[in-house]
Amino acid sequence: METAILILQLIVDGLLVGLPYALIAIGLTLIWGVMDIINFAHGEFLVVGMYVGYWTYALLGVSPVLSLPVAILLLGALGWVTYRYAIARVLKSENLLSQIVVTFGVSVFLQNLFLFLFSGDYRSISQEPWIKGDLMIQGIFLSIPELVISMISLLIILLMHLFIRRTNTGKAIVATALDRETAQLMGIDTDRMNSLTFTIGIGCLGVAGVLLPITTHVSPYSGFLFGVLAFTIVALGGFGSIIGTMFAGIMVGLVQSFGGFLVAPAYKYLCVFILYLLILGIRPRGLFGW
Amino acid sequence: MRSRWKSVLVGGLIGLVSVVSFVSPGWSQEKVIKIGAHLPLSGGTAPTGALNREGIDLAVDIINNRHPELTLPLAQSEGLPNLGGAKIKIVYADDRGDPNVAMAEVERLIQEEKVVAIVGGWESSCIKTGSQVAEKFKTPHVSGAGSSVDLTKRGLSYYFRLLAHSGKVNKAYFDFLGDMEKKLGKKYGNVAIAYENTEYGSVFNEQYEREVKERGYKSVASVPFYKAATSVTSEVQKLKAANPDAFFQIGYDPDAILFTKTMRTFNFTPTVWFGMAGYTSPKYIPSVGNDGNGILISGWFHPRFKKPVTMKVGELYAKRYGKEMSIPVALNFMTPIVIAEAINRAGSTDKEAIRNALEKTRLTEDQSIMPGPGIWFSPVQNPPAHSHDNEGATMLVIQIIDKKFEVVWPEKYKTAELIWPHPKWSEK
Amino acid sequence: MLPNFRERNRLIFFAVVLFAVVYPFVFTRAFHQHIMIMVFMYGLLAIAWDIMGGYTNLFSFGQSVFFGIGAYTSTILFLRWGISPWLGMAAGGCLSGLLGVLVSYPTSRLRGHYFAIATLAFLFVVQTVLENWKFVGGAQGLTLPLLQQSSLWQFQFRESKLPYYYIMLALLASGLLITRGVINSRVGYYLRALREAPEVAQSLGVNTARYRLIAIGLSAFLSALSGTFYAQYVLYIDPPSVISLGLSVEVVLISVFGGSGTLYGPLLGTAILIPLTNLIRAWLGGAGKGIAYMVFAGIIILICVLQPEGIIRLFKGPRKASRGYR
Repeated sequence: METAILILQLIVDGLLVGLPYALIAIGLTLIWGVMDIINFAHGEFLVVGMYVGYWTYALLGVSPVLSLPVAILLLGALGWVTYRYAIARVLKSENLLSQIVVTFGVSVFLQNLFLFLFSGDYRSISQEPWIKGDLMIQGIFLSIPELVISMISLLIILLMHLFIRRTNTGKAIVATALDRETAQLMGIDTDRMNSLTFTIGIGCLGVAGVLLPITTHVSPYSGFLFGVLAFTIVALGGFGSIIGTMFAGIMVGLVQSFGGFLVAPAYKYLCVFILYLLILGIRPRGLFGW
Repeated sequence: MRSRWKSVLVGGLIGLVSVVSFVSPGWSQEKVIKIGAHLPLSGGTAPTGALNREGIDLAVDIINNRHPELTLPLAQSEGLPNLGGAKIKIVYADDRGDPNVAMAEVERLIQEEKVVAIVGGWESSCIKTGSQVAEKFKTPHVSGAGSSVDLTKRGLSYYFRLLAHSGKVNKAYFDFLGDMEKKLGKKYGNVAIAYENTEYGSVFNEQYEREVKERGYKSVASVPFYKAATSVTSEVQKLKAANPDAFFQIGYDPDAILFTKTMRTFNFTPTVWFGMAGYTSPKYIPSVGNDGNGILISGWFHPRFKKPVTMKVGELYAKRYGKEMSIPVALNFMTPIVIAEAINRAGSTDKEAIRNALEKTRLTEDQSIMPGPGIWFSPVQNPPAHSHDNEGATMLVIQIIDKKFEVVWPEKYKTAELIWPHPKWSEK
Repeated sequence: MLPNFRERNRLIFFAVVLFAVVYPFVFTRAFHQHIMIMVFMYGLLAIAWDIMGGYTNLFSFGQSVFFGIGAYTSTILFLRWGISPWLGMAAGGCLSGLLGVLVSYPTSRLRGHYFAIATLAFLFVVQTVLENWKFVGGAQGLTLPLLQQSSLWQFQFRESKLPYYYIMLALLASGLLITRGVINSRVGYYLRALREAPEVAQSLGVNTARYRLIAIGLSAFLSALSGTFYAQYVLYIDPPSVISLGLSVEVVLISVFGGSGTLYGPLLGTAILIPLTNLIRAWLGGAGKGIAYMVFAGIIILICVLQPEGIIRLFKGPRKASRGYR
């Protein structure tokens, strides 16, 4: 009985941490699938969202839930600007190296911008007015903020999935990802699709980012870990597949949770990365890729 | 045309770089003794670096001006009396928390700025390289921080450390625990530790293991964790499963906060909860509110502990900076004073003379704001014995009571009564 | 036009070499010498990276791992068994090369972006392993003892930086020569073929795997040399300082800025960016707080957007029909 509860607890932990990871990775998977470009600044954009959530709380006393729409708009705008002025031109130049490096440049820039503006302090939202507390259900402990964030993440993921599959724009995006030239022949403005994808992809980060400071802390360096986890998830789940990404995110969460307990907490991220390297050795296209 | 413009730009850039590097403002004032200080003024630990700087600046102000109400050395006079009232000037360098940069910056301070001594450093890794360079150039280096035990085990002749190293920190925890066991007639045999896995935490862990072995405790869980991890659920679950009586948590600010929150979620309450480092940060209590009550910290310092000179300096600091003196401020505070006192006693700014004077330093209890009987250094010895370790360094045990830090041990310094055992989450 | 460019470039080349050799006698301040030594060290790393990234399209963020392995190998050999750091350097190079070769097997099927991310994961894994491994000092790192006397054999010099300066310059020059030799040889020819048209090359029977291995092994070997140098120069290494993503990223950015896939591009990038960032940091001191790196990053973004082939392009003549070089 004890073991069963422990296992359930670890599963719950994994889900609670994996769903937000999945949400973070969704944007990346779209960008990657459609534009074939890795957004190395993904983690840093997330941190922008996190700072938005934190500062609206710290300066205005407003709950992140309220600043959610602001964050989404802000990040969407940021995504659009980044695409228009940095990415679009690099895509045209067809220089692989530049495509990789330009987002890295954005990432280094953002990280140091945070350092300059906000200093290296770690910050978190300590007394969130609306979402707080802990639950114990049948011997399983969980914190309400984590639960809320996971539910919201799940919701957004499903919305994105529906958007991609059911709407015309969504299908156009898929078309662009699958075969750019044919999509163009069919009259789809691929540049606009790129721009839209990037905007939406970064916008998703607004949701995840603004809520995260409730459960964890934000610093200029937070982007790295989330970013690398996101890459891992996308590569595992396959590029462009939203549901695939979701499962991959959950899987990563579970690996982190079980690996951390069974092996050693210091190695919990290590387990994730080793798993990643193993899977890539076997199936480079990821588990569910397009 | 476009490419020619570009090459002009590039050429101009290179030219600018070389020209500017020639220009270096270097004017000297009379009667100023330059001391170099390397601190992390940028990068992750920049806030702490800034606090360190405040401490050093305050000390220099006390040295350079009259403060008759303080019993610290050189407070009574303006500047150094034996050197004609010469004043101390600190030249700061940013080591970015990176040992490579620390090395380069200390070298620059010594070779270019021609400082006669070095103070400071916060990260142990930076102090390691900084002091090695200082040793190479036969320049005294006094650090108030740097808890890694290794620092004084290198047999260096020019490096001096004021801080009680983590061996002493650990010893204080266990002395205190042993005291409580005797007083209450109970045994708290099972201990556990969660430590961040970079240098600071792992050195602490080694000392912990040594104490555990020597005193016959049993370590039921030893959990290293990734520094500034975003989630510590696995860690807490492992600890809870081990069910220790006394639990040590060693980590920086974000770890302390996260552990506190997670331990609440999982309703894990050890009988004794010892915290270190992150718990002393000014951010900790505001972030966790009442959740931090009851935590015991082996502290190097407390602004209100019952030593007269400490309380007075604490007031001075509070008046100037509008907040209570914190540990990073205090640690490096004494460093310029110790060096200036040595320079004054030697009556010379010759580095050898300063070094010799430092070896003979003997500050009494009232001449230091730190807890303990004063400051004096062990002689240079072969490793693994400690060289130039401050033998007067003593720890305090501090408890968070009602969202404030209070000293509860040793008896003579205490500011409040101990709360025991650690309160349950529902009570907080 | 063509002869003028070649002549001009040759002249520039000789001027630069002369400058490098005479520099420490003109700029005698330790700080300036330190900057130049860093330029050389990063320069070697940049060249090494470019072998993989520029010529073979193996985009790696793991350069720092090879650097770190070099540093750790020679340091451990010295601390435990008193082996001269020169031998340690060779050993480190070989070990690093071996590791590179081993790692290339599972990653052999990965293209471009996937490979890059795999190298990120690899970096992380190595860093964590070293942090938790007592034998190599764990998170506390390893300290090299300060010798009483300067010693060439034991690779430590007390009085001045000059020996360090010339040693690193020599290492850099060797790295450059080796790289040039490889690029101009058949191996280089095949590498470029693989980069420009991999399917065609394979259909002609070029053994992709073998040449990837050579590129990775060489890149790793050269990086390790820089690593040993660093250890002997700073006398203290720990996982965050030698196995760091920051270091890998700097190397990548420098090379791309200068112009990857070219012989001198990475060096040019290093020569401009390293002094620039150091000086910005020195000027702004505590207020620097990331401004130096913001400038760095900003420049890189501009380069990628405006001049993706890097600064070296300015020195080249008009585009010729492909002669194999970029």
